[in-house]
Amino acid sequence: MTSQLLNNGQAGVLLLSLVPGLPLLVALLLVMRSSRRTGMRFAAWSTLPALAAALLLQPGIDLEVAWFFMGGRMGIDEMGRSFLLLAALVWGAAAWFAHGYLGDDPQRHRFFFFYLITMAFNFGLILAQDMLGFYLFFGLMSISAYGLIVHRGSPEARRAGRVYMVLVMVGEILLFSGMVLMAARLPDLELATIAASPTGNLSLTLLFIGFGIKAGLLPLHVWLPLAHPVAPAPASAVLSGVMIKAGLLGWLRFLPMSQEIILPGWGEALIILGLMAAFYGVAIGLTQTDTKTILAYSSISQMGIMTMLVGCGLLAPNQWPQVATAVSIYALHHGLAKASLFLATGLPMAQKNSQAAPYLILLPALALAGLPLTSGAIAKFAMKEIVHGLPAPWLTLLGCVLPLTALATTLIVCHFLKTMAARQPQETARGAAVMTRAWLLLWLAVALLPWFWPHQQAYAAHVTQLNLIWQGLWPVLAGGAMMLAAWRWWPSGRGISVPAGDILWIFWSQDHPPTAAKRPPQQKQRSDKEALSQQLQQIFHLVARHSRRLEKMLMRWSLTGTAYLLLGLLFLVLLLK
Amino acid sequence: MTNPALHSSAWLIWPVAAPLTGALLTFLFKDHSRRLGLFFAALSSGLGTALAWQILGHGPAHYALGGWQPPLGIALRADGPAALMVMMTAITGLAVSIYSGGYFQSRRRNSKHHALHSAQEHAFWSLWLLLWAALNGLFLSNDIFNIYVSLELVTLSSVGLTALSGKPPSLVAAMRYLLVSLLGSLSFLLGVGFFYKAYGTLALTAIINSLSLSPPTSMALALISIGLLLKSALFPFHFWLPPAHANALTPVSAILSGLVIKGSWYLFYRFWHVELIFTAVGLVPAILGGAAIIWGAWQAFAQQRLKMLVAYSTVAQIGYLFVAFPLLAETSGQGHGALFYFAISHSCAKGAMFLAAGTFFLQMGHDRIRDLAGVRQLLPVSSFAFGLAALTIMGLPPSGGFIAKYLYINTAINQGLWWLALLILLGSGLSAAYIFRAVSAILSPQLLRIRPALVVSASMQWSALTLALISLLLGIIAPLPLALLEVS
Amino acid sequence: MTMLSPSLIYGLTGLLLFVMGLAGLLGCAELLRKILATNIMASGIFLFLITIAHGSGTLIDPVPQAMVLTGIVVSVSSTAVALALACHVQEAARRHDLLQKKRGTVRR
Repeated sequence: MTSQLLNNGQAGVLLLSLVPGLPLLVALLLVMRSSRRTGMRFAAWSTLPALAAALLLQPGIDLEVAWFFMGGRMGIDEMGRSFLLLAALVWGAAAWFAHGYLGDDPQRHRFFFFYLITMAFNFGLILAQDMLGFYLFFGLMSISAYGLIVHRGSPEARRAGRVYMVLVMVGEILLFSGMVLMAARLPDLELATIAASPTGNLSLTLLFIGFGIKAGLLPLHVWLPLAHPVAPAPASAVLSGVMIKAGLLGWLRFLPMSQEIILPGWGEALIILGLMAAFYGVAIGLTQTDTKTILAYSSISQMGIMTMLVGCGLLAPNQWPQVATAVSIYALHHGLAKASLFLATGLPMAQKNSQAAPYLILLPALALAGLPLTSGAIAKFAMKEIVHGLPAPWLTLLGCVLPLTALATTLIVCHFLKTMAARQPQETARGAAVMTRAWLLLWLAVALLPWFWPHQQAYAAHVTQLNLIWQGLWPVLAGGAMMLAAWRWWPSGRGISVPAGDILWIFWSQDHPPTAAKRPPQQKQRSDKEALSQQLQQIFHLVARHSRRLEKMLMRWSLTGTAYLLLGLLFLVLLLK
Repeated sequence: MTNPALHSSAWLIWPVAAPLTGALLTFLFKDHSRRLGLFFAALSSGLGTALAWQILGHGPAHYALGGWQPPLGIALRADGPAALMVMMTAITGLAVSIYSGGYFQSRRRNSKHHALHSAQEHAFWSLWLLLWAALNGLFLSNDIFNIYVSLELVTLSSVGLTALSGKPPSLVAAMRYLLVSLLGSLSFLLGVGFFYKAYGTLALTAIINSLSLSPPTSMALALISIGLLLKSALFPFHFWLPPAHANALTPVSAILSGLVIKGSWYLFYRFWHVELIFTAVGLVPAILGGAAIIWGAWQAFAQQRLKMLVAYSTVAQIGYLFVAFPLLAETSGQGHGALFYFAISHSCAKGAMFLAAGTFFLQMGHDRIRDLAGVRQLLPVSSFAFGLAALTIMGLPPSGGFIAKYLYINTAINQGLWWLALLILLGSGLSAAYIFRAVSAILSPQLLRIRPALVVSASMQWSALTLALISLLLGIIAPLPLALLEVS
Repeated sequence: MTMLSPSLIYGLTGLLLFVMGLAGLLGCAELLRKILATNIMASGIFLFLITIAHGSGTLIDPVPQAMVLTGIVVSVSSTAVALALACHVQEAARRHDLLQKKRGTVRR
C-alpha cells in the first residue's frame, strides 16, 4: 500500500530528492559551530531516505530537474535499486560505527562532514539518470573522499591522498573526454539512450579506464592498498564496500548494453584483465601483514571477478539482462561482506560486549569465499549461470578457472583471519558498545539479506541443492587445507614482503614503504632517493631558469613592439585577403 | 525627440550613473568614504542585477542619452551579453567592496601609518566606483567613440588603483600598464577613425551588421583588434599583467583580474562575433590563446609566491577567453555560451582566489607558497574559499568552469576542431597541476607552532567564500545565464 | 603627376605622426619621451579625424570634430596621470638608489 502511494504521488518524488538532500543538509549543520551537536545526532539517520527509497520505491519513478546543471534527471531503476540498498546499508552502518570509533577524536566533525557529503554524492550518482548528472556526482564523490582518506593527517595518509588525488584527476580528464566524445554523437544524454547506442572505441576506452581507476582495475589499483590502511575503519568500509562499486556502476551504465551492439575484442579483454586482477590481488595480498591492506588486495581480486562478469556480458550480448542482475548481486554481496570485515578490523575484540565477534566474523569472511548457504554462494551461482551461456572456448576455460578463484579467495580470507587473530588486543575504546551494535546490524544484513532480496531469492532456491553445495564447498575446503598446511610447514617469517601499492614502488623511489614490515637499511635508500630527487630538481630548475629568461625577454618593450607590429600586419593581411 | 519607446528604457543609464555619483561623493566627503562607498556599491550592484533581470524578462533595450539621437547623441544598448557582463560586474564588484571595507580597516588597525592607510582607502573608493561606472558604460555603450572614452576611463582608474599601494614595484608596474594601455587605446581610436571614414556612423551595431571587408574597414578592424589584445594581456602581450596584478592591493588585484580584463575582451568579442571574419584570421587569437594557456600554466607552476601564481593563472585563463573564437562560427550559439560562461565563472573564481590570497598575505605577512602550510587552521573560511575557487579554475564539476569547458569541447568536437578540444583538455590538466601545488600547501594539515592573533576581519573571509560559492553555483544553475545570453 | 589633395596630405601626415609616435613609444627608454610619444600619436589621430570631417565636399561633418574635442580632453588627462605617475616612479627609483648606496657604505 505504502509503495503504491509513494510511486503515484508527490511523496515518491520528495523521497527521491531527500536521498541526497538530507545528508547534505545535515553536513551543512556540521559546518556551523552552534548546530554541530544536532548535526552529529542526525548523521547516521540521514541514510534513512536512501534505505526507504531502495526498499519502497518501484523502478521507473522519475524526477526531472530542469534548472539543475544543464538539466538533469534522477530516478530509480532495477540496477540502481540494488546499488542503492547496498549503499544505504553500508553507509548507514558505518556512520553508526564511526560514532563509536571516533568518539574522542577532536576532529570528528570534519570527518562526518566529508563522510556525509561523500555519501550524498554517492547516492546521487546511483540515482542519476543522465550522463552529466552521473559524471557530476561521480566527480564530487571522488574529490570529497579525499577528506576521508587524509583524515588522520599522518605522512602516510597524505601520501596515500596524493596518489589518490592524482589518479582522480587523471580519471576526471579521461571520463570527461570520453563523455564529451560520446555526447557529440547522441541525440540526448540520458542513460537509457547511451545504453542503446553504438559507441566509438576511443570514447569507450577512455570511459573504461576512467571508471576503472575507481574500480581498482589492474594497473590502476595502486591507490586502494595505500588508502585503506590509513583511513579510519568506517571510511575504509565505505571505500571498499560501496565507492569502488561506483566505478563498476559506471561501466554498467556506459558500456553499450544492447543485444545489437557487439564490440569485437572487448569482452575477451575484460575477462582476461579481470581474471588477472583476481589472482594478482590474492598473490600480493598473501604477502601483506596489515589486516586492512590484505582486505584491500582482496577487494582488487573481487573487483577482478566482477570485471570478468562484465566482460562475459560484452562477449555474449544476448544475456545482458542476466549479467546485469548477476553483477548487482555480486556487488551487493561483496559490498556487505567486505564492509563488515573492514568494520571488524576496527572492532575492539577483547571487549566484554563483543566477545562473540571473533566467531561471527567467520560468516562474512567465508561468504566472500563462496561457502554454501551464504550470500557468496548465491552470487557465485548467478555467475555460473552466466558462464554457461558463453561461447565455446570460454565456457570450458572459465568453468575450470572459476573454482580456482574461489580457492584463491579462501586463501586470502584465511590469511586475513590469521592476521586478525594474531593482532594485539586493542586498547578499550569508549564507544565499543555502539561499534558492536552497528557491526552486528551489518552482519545481520550479510546473513539474512540474500534470502529476502527479490533478486537473490530467485537464485537462493537453487543453492540448497546438494550437488551445488558440494561444488561450492570443495574450493573452500581445499583452500583451507592448503592454508593449514602452509602454516604448519612453512617456516614463519620467511615470507616475501611486497610493499603495499606494489607496482607503484617500481616507479617511485624505494624510500619509506608505508607498511613498516621490513624496512631495508636506511642509509643506501636515502642516498638513492636524494640523488634522484636532486636530479629531478636540477632539471626543473634548469627549465624554470630558461623559461624565466624567456619571460624576461618577453617583458622588453622592443619585443612587445615587434609583436605588436607583426600581429597588426598579420591581422591586416588576413583580413584583406 | 520624445519617442516613448526610447524613454521607457531610461533606466539603462542608472548602472552607469549610480557608481559615477558614488565616485564623486566619496571623493568629496573624505571622512565618510567607506560608508558612502559601501552604500553606492550595494546600490550599483542592485541596479546592475535589476538591469539583467529586466533584460531577461523584456528583451533588449535601447536608450539615447538626453534624447539626443545618434549620430551626435550617444546611444546605450543592452542585450543579453551586455546584461550578463553588467551582472558579473555587479556580483564580483559587491563582494570585492565588502571585502575592501574590512581590508582597509584591518590594515589600519595593525599599522602605525594611519594617515597613509586612510588616504589609500579614500582614493580606493572613488577610483573603484569610477572604474565600475566606466566598465558598465563600456558594456552598455553602442557608440564606438564613447566606448573609446570608457576604455580610457577604465585604464586611468585601474592604473590609479594599481599604483595605490605606493611601493616601488607597484609604481613601476602601474607605469608600464599605463603606457601599454595608452598604446592599446590609441590604436583603438585610430581604428574608430577608419570605421567612421568607411561607414559614416559610430553605432556599433550598424557597423558590425553591415561589415564588409574593404581596405579601410580591414585597417580599422586590425587596429582595434591589436589594441584590444594588448589591453587584454593576451600572450605575448601579457608582460605587464603579472607584476601589476600581484603587486597591487588585494581588492585591486581581484578587480583587475576579475573584471578589467573582461572589459577589453568583451569589446573584442563585440567586433568579432560576425561570421564574416571566420576565415583564416579567426585562427590568430585562437593560436595566441593556446600559447597563453600553456605558457601561463607553466609560469604559474614555477612561481614561488601565491599572488604571482594566481596572476599567471590569469594569463593562462585569458588564453581560454580567446582560444574559442573559431567556435563562434557555429550557428547554434553554443560557442558564445562557452565563452561567456567561462568569462563570468572566471571572474567570480579568480576574484575569490585573489581575495583569499590577500587574506593569507595580510595574516601571515608574506605569500610564499612553501611557508603557507598551517594557514588553514588560522583562516579556515578563506582556505575553503580558495579551494572552492580552485575547483572552477581547474574546471571540475559542478563549477561554472566545468560547464564552460564542457561547452567548449562539445562545440569543438561538433565542428571537428580536434586540436582545440585537445588543447583545452591539456590546459585543464596543466591548471590542475599548478592549482594542486597551491591548494595542497594551503590545506596541508601541518600544525602551526605558534598561533598568532587574527588580524583579518570576518567580512574579508566570508566575502571571498561567497564569491567562490557563486562560482560553484554558476555550474548548477547553468540554464539561467545561458538564457540571459540568448536575449539579442 | 598626380595631384595631392590637401585632405590626403593632412590624412597621411596624421598617420605619419602616429607611426612616429609609435616608434618613439617602442624605441625610447626614458619615461618622459615615451609619454610625449603617446601625445604625438594622439595628435596624429586628431589630424586624421579632422581630415575625415572635411572628407567629402564642402559640408563639414561635426561628429569628428566633437570626437577630436573630447579626445583632446582625454589625452590631456591621461598625460597628466602619466606625468604624475612618472614623478612617483622617479622618486621611488631615487630613494632606491640612495638606499643601495647607504647599504653599500655600511657594508664597506
